[in-house]
Amino acid sequence: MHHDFIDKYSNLDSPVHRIDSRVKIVFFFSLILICVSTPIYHIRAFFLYFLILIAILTISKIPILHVLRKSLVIIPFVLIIALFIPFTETSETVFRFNDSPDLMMNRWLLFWNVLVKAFISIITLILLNSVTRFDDTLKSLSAFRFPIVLINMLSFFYRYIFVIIDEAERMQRALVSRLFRGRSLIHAKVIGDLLAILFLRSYERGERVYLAMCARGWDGQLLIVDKKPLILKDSAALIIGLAALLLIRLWSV
Amino acid sequence: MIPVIQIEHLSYTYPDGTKALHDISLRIDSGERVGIIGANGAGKSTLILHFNGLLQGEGKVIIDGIPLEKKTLKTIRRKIGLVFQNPDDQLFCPSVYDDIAFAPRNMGLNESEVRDIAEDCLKRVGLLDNSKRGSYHLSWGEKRRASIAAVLAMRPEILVLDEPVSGLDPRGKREIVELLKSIGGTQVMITHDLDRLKSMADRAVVMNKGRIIADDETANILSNQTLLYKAGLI
Amino acid sequence: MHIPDGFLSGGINAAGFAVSAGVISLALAKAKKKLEDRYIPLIGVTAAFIFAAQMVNFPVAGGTSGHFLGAALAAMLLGPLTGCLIISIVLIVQCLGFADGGITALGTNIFNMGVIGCFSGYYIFTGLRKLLPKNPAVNITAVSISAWMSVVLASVFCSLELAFSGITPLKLVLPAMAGIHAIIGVGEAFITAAVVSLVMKYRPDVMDFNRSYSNTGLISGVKL
Ligand SMILES: Nc1ncnc2c1ncn2[C@@H]1O[C@H](COP(=O)(O)OP(=O)(O)O)[C@@H](O)[C@H]1O
Ligand SMILES: [Mg+2]
Repeated sequence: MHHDFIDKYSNLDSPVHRIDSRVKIVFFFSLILICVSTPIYHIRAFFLYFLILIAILTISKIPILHVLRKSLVIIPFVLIIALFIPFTETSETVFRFNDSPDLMMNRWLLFWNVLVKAFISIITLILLNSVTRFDDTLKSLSAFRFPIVLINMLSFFYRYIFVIIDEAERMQRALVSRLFRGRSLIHAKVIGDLLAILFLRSYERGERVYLAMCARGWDGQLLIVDKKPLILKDSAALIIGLAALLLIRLWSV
Repeated sequence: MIPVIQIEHLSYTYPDGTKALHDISLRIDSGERVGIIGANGAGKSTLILHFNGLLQGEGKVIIDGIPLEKKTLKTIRRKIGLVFQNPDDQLFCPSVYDDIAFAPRNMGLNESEVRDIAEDCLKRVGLLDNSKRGSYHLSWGEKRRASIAAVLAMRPEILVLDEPVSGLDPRGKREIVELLKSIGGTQVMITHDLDRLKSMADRAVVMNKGRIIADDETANILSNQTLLYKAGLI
Repeated sequence: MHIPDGFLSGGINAAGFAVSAGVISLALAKAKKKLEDRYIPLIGVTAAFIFAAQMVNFPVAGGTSGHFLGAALAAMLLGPLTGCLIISIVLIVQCLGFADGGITALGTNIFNMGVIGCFSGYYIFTGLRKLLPKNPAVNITAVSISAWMSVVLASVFCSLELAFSGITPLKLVLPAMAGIHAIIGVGEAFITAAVVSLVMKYRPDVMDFNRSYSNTGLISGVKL
């Protein structure tokens, strides 16, 4: 059983894949921040953000269907908001901290605002993990003063998530092959027992990992994240990228 | 000549009360290849966890002339290369390269020295092309070889392996046997594979219920059917 | 309950980030001091377990489904602060690796599911345990109630944030979210109770509130 569902396509080779992961993180996060803070009536800006994403998608050879399929996770939230629209009096949305007051005028505009921003942001996140290996993303976080202990824990997570899911799948298959159909609450006990065993196995695996680390000379030091300075090409890419975003944000009113 | 591993009257009880080792004494000389055999639960894994002080019971453990105690732990852990039974426990880093580099980095080497050692070890186990991959994506045999490489990167004087050929297909087993032969040096390995024992070890130690019940040349042990039966091996 | 980008106001997100970052630093500082380095792999692997457990789905009314959250479980197994750390790790991976939950809303999501989920689950449980007679059946009931409460409370905070961000009125979103999660919470309660009772049977030493038990783990004998 082979899972690559976290960073599928991150092993492709393209100019985008080759850019330093720190640059990609800064750029994509900035894109999201800037997009979220753009007033909704700047239609042109959103169009341009979207265009940038399409361009990156094309250069990096990521199948568009993959991105669209993964973006479906926002649907439940968008639906909840959409469902409420017919029942919402404009004057009811009185709690506002940011954005301009004229947004309150039109609830459809409000909905559109959420939908567009959520969609662009989610596509951006999916692109990030399609063009950057997940362990590179984790390591790069240290450049932004993200706690190293947490990065280490995340690395262990990433290392063992597939092992544990495999184990869960094997257990589930054993259940199903004994004619188990877990659809009702009575079966929650069975699923609970399965998860308990899975927890104990995971916990004990954590203990053995600790032993293995000690056996190889670990004395409490954290895994080292080597910091290389950015090469010229990557710095240039970053500056151009950020400048483009700022330009769009400031001038496309 | 001083023995590389000397164990005197070692007993160990797990915190929950399971008596896993009773009065074990064992002496292994430099360059020996020793197989430890015995049924499941005989105490083999518990015994080898004492070699580098991961567990500490009553009795004496002396490695290369150095008695194992708190202040010698670091030195001794560098001498003993312990390969765990399950490669998934042993390979805990996001990529194969990081795993091989783990021990050299702990030894305080700089990144270029680390890279030299890592590439050398990966080449020896035939995994140089896989260094960037995650261990998760390796086959079981590749994982086993990667765990051995991860331990070789410590430059240990004594290689201790817990069931190195279990769970492998015949070709995987052959590859490991050949790899161990090419590595050479002092080797202690736990195994259930009596067919391959002869090509892997010159001497065999038989354990049963926490005790050593026989210790002899491999050929003699393998021809003693009553002993093997008693130890639950046939 | 994973809020995407674009839903919440900047103020709410900033507050969420501040609180969550504070709690995480507290947890990390405490882990460094008290829990020792052996907990670093343990927390990572346990977080992976919670992630896998979250793949358990249960049907809710109207064809939708909810999934196991595991915040109360993590808190009861390893303590509220460590539990928070575990849920945060899960949420960070879900955000960066799956785009499930937005990056600007990450702090808020950690606050709802991690901070509220773990602390409410844990302290409701320990509170009930103090009040109620001490026997296993009662214990398990307390586990179920606190697991249910943790999910419902997390969803209440989620609705408050959506309402205060001005995208939907509180009087609509609160009953809807709390209602759905009151149903999801039943599954959460059953599963949490089952896991806790089995872990208490096999490895009582790992349970946070049982730390006074003699430690029987593999690593308990390990000396560094
Ligand atoms: N962490 C542990 N806690 C308690 N008992 C254990 C633990 N690990 C192993 N044992 C027990 O110690 C005995 C020896 O186990 P082990 O050394 O793993 O055997 P072997 O490797 O020969 O199969 C067995 O009875 C086993 O159940
Ligand atoms: Mg064993």
